[in-house]
Amino acid sequence: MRSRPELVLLLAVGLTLAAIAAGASIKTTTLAFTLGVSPDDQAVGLYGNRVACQQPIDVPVAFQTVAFAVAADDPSGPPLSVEVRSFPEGRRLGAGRLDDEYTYAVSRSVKVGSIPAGERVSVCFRALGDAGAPGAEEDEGARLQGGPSQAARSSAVFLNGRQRPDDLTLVFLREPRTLLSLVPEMLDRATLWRPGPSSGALLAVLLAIVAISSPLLLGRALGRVMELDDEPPGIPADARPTES
Amino acid sequence: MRAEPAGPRTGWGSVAGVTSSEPRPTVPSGSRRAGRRRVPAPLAYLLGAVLLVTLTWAYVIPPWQAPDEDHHFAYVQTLGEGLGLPGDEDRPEQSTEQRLATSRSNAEQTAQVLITELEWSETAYRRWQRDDGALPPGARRDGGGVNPASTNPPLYYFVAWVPYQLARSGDVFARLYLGRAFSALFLLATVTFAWLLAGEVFGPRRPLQLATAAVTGLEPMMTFISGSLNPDSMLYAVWALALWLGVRLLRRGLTAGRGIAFFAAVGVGTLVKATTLVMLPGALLVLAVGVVRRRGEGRRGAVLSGVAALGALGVLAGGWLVATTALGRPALFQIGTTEDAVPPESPVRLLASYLWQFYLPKLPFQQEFTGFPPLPVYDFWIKQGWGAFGSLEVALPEPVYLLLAAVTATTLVAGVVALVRAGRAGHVDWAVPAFFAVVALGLLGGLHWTEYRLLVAVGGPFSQGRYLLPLVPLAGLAAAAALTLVPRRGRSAALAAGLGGLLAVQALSLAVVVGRFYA
Repeated sequence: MRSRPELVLLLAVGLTLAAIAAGASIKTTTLAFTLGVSPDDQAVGLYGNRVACQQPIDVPVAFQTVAFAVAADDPSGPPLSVEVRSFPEGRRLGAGRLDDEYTYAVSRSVKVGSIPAGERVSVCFRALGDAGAPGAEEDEGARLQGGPSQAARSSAVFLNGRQRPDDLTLVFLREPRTLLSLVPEMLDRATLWRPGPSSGALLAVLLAIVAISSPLLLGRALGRVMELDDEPPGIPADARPTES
Repeated sequence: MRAEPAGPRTGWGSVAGVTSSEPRPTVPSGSRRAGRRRVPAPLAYLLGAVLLVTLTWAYVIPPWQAPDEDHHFAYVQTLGEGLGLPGDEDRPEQSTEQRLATSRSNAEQTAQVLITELEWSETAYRRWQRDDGALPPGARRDGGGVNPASTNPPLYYFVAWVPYQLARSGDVFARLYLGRAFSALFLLATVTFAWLLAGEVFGPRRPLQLATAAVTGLEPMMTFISGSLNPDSMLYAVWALALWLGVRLLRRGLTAGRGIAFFAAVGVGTLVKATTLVMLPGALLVLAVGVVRRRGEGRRGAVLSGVAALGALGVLAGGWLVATTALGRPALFQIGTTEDAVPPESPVRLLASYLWQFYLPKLPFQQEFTGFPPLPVYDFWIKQGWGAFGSLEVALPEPVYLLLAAVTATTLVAGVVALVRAGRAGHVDWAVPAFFAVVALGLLGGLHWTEYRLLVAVGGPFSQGRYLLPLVPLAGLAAAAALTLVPRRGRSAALAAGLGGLLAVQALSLAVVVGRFYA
């Protein structure tokens, strides 16, 4: 060890990274992306012919399911339709329907079909059944949860085409993936909003250099100091402070 | 603790001389290199490792996802655009350029909220690039309003003005990230001063210097904060410098030069953050010891040196006080009041109850304080002191914190044991640990007093682990002192285990951050 402290420290980093990789190969996520809006409050009520759309939304990762927070006064809230449309064209890209019961503000998810990455979309909600009939009252409907202007400022809720100062709590999901399988995507994401040209591959190379160089440098430091260490245990003897 | 030979040494040459015990190559007399000292090789290697790790942090942390970084950037931009100091109530806090970037990247919504992510869309990024490029030149110059950092002293921000100008032709992220890289350099200074501090405390014992400096430079929060745009990076460096100069003064005796250098360092610290004022009692203790230890004829000279030292502090700290008064700006953090205030029926009892509950479990009859965790010393000092990234919302796994708490407690206890043993053997100049204790208690006392006042005025906690980070060099000294308890044949393995542990925690911390922001 004394002659090879670099190897000891490389081993320490290697084992840590191996443990992290092992954990990442077990842990899975279904998150594709999110608008990042806390379900703090009612963003919009859905009843009658009201259609609420969060738009525009850039789709960085393909998804199949939309999760949202919804509440209702009725013990079982009304069914809802969820549509994903291209923005601004309005072409239908996917759709689904929520038939599960809900009352308090809970998260519900609806499969809408596969929406590819790179699209710019609207996600629109409408009450179905009696609550969606003309003349339905507010207390018969559903309340989509969200918060005031929490998503990126370019996206907002539009109720029957009119913008409101709110955003919906929307989370876009896909099939479960292990964190380890997401590493290439994560590296690409880590190069966005950075200065200059960069890529996930370049970042991977740089991180590998750091992971190898740091223990090597520390190992060299350790090796040098131990060559010079011939002191017995204990804090060395003191002399009285000198006057100058 | 070994005294260094006194003598007229100044500058980096003497610095290396104090700390370097390596055999040096013979240099022909008369050579221009004669008398020049190299940076000790182990320190150079350590600095290389610390720089790599800190720059990694600087790159990996998403924009404005470090504590108050949006406010600090706004401050730098206000200076960088020639608008003077921020704090104009009639202006917006941030420029149009910054607001566009924080909004499009979703940075403002991501801070502190775990369910929120940055914008991952390449398309959204390209759209921001297009819109940012179309902004008028004035979009950088319409900030300068009040923000939580605008009352900070300006020294760090003046320094950060340099990278801002260097990246002026780039976009807002170029200026932010170059500022981060520049801040990372302060950690190199911090590590160097910690190395020198250990050299002054223990003598030129390289393993102990390496242990002290490595703890200082590789503690995860030190690299995280120093890799962000934050005046704390400079604060750590100035505090480490002041600690070293204070010990140097104690060990070598008070001269005008040493006194002025020490108090100037404290004064510079007050220009970085007013927090440094809590170092004053410790600084005055050092000065008093320096004067008392000079006897006979030298006493008068020591008093004059002390006056000169205080003058240096007065010029720096007093200058800022005068400037803020003239500008009508608050010189210190201001505390307002809200409805959540806890008006104390008995201030002394409330203060005692608060302090008890901070460090010990709450007793049944004690008042409960809203917003505090069950044991703040663990949550604030240990957990946040080791690793609370992003805007505190990114945490390590709980078992890791428990392990780090055990390591911290063991290290501190072992450090005290080593100190007591050395003291019994007559090896300790007690003025040095007294200086450290007064500085540490000064910072803790200042933080607790501020938190108590906030508790009374607005309710809720104030403490964050990162506020203790200026004391990390002292934790490094404790680790080094603990190392002295290890027999020589096991010392190499113990030091290797410590360094390996630091690297392992670094790797885990970075992985947790990457998982939080990019998975």
